Amino acid sequence: MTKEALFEVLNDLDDAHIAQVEAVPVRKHHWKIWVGLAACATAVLAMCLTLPALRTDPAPSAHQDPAPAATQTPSAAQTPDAIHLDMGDIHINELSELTAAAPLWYDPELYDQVWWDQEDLLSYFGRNLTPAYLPEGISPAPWNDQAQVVVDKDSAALVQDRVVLHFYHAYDQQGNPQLTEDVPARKGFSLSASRLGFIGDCLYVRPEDEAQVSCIGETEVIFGYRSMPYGPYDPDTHAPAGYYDLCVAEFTSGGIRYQIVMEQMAPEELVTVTASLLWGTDEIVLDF
Amino acid sequence: MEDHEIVALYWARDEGAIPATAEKYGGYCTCVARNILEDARDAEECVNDTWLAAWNAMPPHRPARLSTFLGKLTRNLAFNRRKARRADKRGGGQLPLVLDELGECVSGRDSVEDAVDRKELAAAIDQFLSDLPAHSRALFVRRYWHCDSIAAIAARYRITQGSAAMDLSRTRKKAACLPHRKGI
Repeated sequence: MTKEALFEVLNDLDDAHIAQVEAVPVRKHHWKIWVGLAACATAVLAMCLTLPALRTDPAPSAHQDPAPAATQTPSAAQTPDAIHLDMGDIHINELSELTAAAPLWYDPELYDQVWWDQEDLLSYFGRNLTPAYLPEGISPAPWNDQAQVVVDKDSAALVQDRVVLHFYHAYDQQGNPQLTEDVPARKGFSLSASRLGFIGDCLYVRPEDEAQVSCIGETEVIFGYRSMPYGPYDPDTHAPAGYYDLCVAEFTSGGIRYQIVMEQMAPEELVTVTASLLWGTDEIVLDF
Repeated sequence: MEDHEIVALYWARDEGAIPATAEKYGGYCTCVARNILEDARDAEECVNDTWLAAWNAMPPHRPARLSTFLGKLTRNLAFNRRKARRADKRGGGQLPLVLDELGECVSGRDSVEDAVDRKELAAAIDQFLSDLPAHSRALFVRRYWHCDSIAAIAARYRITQGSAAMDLSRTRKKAACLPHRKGI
């Protein structure tokens, strides 16, 4: 088929698809409106901060302390129903290559492999590592409540604390993620966390110094995307049977280094999962 | 005037149907035509052809959604006009770029073996779009149906041009598998 023929075939698209996009108006930068809204919001915020302070503490200096505003969490600063995240501020870097790094090997003569249970994980990381939002059809792996770490035999110091949690669409009897029927790949994501900085062994955004950083709240996140080919490959042309989405997010928050690797899901889902992990709520709305 | 009232004028063979259509959808159809035909006069003539085509189509046709019905007529007429003129590929406008991008999704051959039921393919594309995230679907339709420029799409959805281009690239790669599955 030629591209011209495909262009003509597209003329027969379902009316609903066409009408749907026509309903979205062009967004213009109405700066006067925004300046007005910002002024109103500032006034309201000032009143919110000032009035309670006046009511509870009659000291003249109490209501002048700006600390409450500076320490507000994103969820408290936004509407009570949901946190809105502007996708225009999110940059998805193209992953130009994937590289497998050799995993570190720990000599059993010198190191012990230690199993942590959920209580140990909570105590060490100081938080539940499961994101508040999980995409539809995705569930935690049955063994997400335990992890193996490496401890130095002599000093009892922790030398490897990387914990990997799995969140996929289906698991086999051993709890391993299953591949989907139509695409031979997993559907869902893995989440690696480490206070010592060991997070990944195979994914890089290249060139690293040109990766654009996105901010979710005050956390800098690097998002990456790669269209992953899958087989079987055509014996003559070597063309893959198709492609699926693979996205990565890397960031540090609360002294913990994270890496999320998501397969067969749209980058928007990764952004939502990341935001829900950072903000502890599943009430995330992406604005396009 | 409501769409059903305009359609009723066509069915009544009332010539007031055309100015009513032009008033309500003139801007929209001109926009569709201009994205395909860079020449303003060409686009204007194409839109006038659209009103004539609508007059000839109604009755017997009674479109469920007048806007997309007129948009499809305009798009088709503009593309045919463009083909007839054999416009230079580098002559400007969005169409050459749009066609080049669509070229990634097809074999480029036009052999007998490639001949398929286009309705079947259109249905497959509809399903493909339904399975896409809403954002990607919107970008795809704006680019390959309306022939909007990347800059216009980025402005409409308040994203960067790079982000829009990459999203479209991803969708094209997925779409490239569609014809093979359908035996095209």
